Amino acid sequence: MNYRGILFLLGRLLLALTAALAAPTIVAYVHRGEDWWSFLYAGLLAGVVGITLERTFAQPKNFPFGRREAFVLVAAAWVTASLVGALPYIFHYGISFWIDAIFESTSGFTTTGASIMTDIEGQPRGILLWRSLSHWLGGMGIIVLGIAVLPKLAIGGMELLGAEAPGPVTEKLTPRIAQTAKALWGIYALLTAAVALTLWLLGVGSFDAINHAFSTIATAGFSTLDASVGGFNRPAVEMVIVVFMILAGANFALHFQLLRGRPGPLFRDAEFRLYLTVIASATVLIAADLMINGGVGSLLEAVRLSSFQSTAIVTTTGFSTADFDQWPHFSRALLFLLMFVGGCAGSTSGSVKVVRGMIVLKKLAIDLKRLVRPRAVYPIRIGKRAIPEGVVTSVTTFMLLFVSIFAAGGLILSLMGLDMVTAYSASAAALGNIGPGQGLVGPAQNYAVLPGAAKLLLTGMMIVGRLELYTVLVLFFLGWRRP
Amino acid sequence: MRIVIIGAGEVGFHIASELEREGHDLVIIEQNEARVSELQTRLDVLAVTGDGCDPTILQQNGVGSADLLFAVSNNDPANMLAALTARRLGVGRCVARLGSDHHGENPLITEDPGIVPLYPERLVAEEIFGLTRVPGASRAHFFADGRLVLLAARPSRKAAIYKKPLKELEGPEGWILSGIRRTDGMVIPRGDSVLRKGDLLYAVGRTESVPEYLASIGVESQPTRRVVIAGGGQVGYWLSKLLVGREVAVTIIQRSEQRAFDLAAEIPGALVLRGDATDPAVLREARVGDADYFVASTQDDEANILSSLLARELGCRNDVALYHRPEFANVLQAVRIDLPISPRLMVAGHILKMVHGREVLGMDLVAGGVAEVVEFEVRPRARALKGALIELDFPRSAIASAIIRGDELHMPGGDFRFQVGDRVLVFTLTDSLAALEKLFRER
Repeated sequence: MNYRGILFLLGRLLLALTAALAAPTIVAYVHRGEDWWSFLYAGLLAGVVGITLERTFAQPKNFPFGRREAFVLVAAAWVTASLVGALPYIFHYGISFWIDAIFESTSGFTTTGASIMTDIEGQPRGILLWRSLSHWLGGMGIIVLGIAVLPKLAIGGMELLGAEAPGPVTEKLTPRIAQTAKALWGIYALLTAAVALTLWLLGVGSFDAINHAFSTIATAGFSTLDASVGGFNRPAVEMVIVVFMILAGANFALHFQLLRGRPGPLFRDAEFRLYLTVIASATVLIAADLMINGGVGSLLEAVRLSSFQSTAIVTTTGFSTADFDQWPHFSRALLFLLMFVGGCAGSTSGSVKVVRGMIVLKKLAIDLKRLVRPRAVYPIRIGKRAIPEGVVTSVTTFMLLFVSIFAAGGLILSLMGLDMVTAYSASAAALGNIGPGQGLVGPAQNYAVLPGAAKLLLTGMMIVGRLELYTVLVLFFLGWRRP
Repeated sequence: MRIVIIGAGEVGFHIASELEREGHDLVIIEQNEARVSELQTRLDVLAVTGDGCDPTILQQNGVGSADLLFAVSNNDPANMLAALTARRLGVGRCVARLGSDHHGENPLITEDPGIVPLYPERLVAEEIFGLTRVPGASRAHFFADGRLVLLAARPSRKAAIYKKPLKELEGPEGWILSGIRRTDGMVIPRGDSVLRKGDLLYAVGRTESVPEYLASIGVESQPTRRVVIAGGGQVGYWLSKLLVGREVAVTIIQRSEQRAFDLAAEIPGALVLRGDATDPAVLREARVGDADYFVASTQDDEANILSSLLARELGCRNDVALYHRPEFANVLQAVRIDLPISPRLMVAGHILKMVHGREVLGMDLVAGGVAEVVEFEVRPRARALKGALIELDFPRSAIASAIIRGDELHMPGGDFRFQVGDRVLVFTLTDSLAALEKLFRER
């Protein structure tokens, strides 16, 4: 195991975080918030440790960096970022706040968007910006960012990308991995700018527009308003955010093709089409339920509510425009199930991802068919492509693991005294990087009331979920003691 | 003619022996030394050991002065390269054997009219596909974009067609009985010929009325709905693609796991089973019992024969078996495989067509080569324009079976008059070829 290389790269990451912390420092200072020094201290601390690590473990000549190192580095990078990101909260709110700070920071970087803050609008601007910025940094992936800006990381970069990127198969868009990472971040930045600009043109204040842009494109969920996006109470703003949540939940490889003037793949992509179908069907079903059982009078209003909420949950953004915890039973049950859909592979969304669901459902059908014809060979197709057997197996295992971790999480949370709806929805919301659950952790509530141990458990689940299980779980199977 | 053949595998060797018999001068370039020395002893040809893509070797052996070159090794890119090189060295026409259509679509090939791609496996697959479109017949070959068909069929012994001269029989419109195969040879029918039980009939007619024609000779024909193919090699691959395109249900039995997966991935409409086609359990799982055709298309002749017999035992209606070794022809006949097919004879027909520059079809129909189906074009001022068909000096051992005139098809009667540009399909015994040439050529 190349520990020197890993520590060196973590040092680099700390320096990058220092740079990121400069933004809220400046904003806080300009707005004369008393929180600016919290960011300054956090930045300085990260900077000093970062330089020390970087100098001490100055890059060795030969740089053996394989799969093992990739997994360890990616997991360590995410823990480091989450801990460093918690520093400003600790400096600002006090040391007794440390669990909440780590929870909030991890929820930020993993784009979960579950918050322990009760009075969001009362918080200083630096803090609010840092929450959204951590979303934005984590959304496309800190490792992808690292590969884009640090040429040294390109060695073994594909393993790194695979360990961090969402979806069952990681593909390069360009021959060079650094170019791929740059292309991804370019598209990401472009989409973010598009949201911010559109919101600003609709009359949203520039600070709110930028923060919501970060949160939307990262499919994350922190808002600058107590009532989330509902706080704007503007249908146009909601629709803009719906459209961009859908785009952020689509495979970025498709956006890449689109920007190259090839819109065909986007509309022919089987996963994207099913993804849209799921959102559309959920919208229709929930709108109907709201009108029949929920006492919503106008069709337009029902569709407005249901389209926003279905999209926010499927894309794992977790914004809300209403307290859906008060909605009729069917809508709540459906929203709970939608937490397990997730966006498309290669997007910024969390949870299972549509393509995995497709593969597992097709596998199920094929296994049934095989009972009749044991010798038949049925390849699993996504669009026109046949999925290799190995990928199918790993997807099935992923699903099993995902459900197992979700179930275990819910069970442990209930042991901590949470009711069943709260425990299981919180477990799914953390593992799927969604944000709001139901019950005590519903959209109008927050995670502050949970016991400390529960918060730490959920923090861990967020990172496991963000790195799509394997990258974290494989650490237990690396064979540490063997050379 | 001076002809170069690159690659003396199964196809190359067969082409060589056919062409040598016809008296052409052959140069054969082959990499395997043992094959070369075998060729030298068995055929009167110049056989050279070497790489057919190597321009030096090509030049040394005088390829530049050759009229025709066949690149028929079993390696697509090597065949392409050899053909392209030979073209540069001045060979007028090069035939490149290809297995995959990806290579055939290569602009290097499509943009050079002097390079003719040859897909042996696809030819075989097309032939078998043709058969499945005319169930009940034992052979079929399509002309004029599939609108015209030559078929071979054995009439039912109970049909009311025996004992009367042909002119007294009422057959369906638009069909011309062109040849009768008997144990003692091939007969070109005349109005006073009488059919015997056990005759194999060759008839030309419109594709859409095949069922009517077959019914008139007492042969039942149900449309083909399901085909089971043993062996997912190139022949099996092409055949399944053609069948799936026609909405016929296809089941492929393939032994190798990887190939089975690839086939299933490439042909979405087909059901692929992994297993050995000589295992009755596998055949049962493929439901050969209610298949219209069972096609044994593996490279292994013994396995093909065995699996065909098993399939028939399990109730399959028609069994097609590929055989590669000529000496098995009699074995297949003895065990009564319905439709034995020899890929080499089939491919040889196409090769000869390229050499002669005229349509020679159905080589495999009439084993022994006593008869051929030849397409002639009526040239200006040809003798054939002198009068009605009955007044012409048409050879007695040949029959004009159909005329393709632009988009129209004509089934000629005695009063038919040819026009310049007509393409005439003639079924003929080989000894009349010269006379026919004279009839249709410019005077």
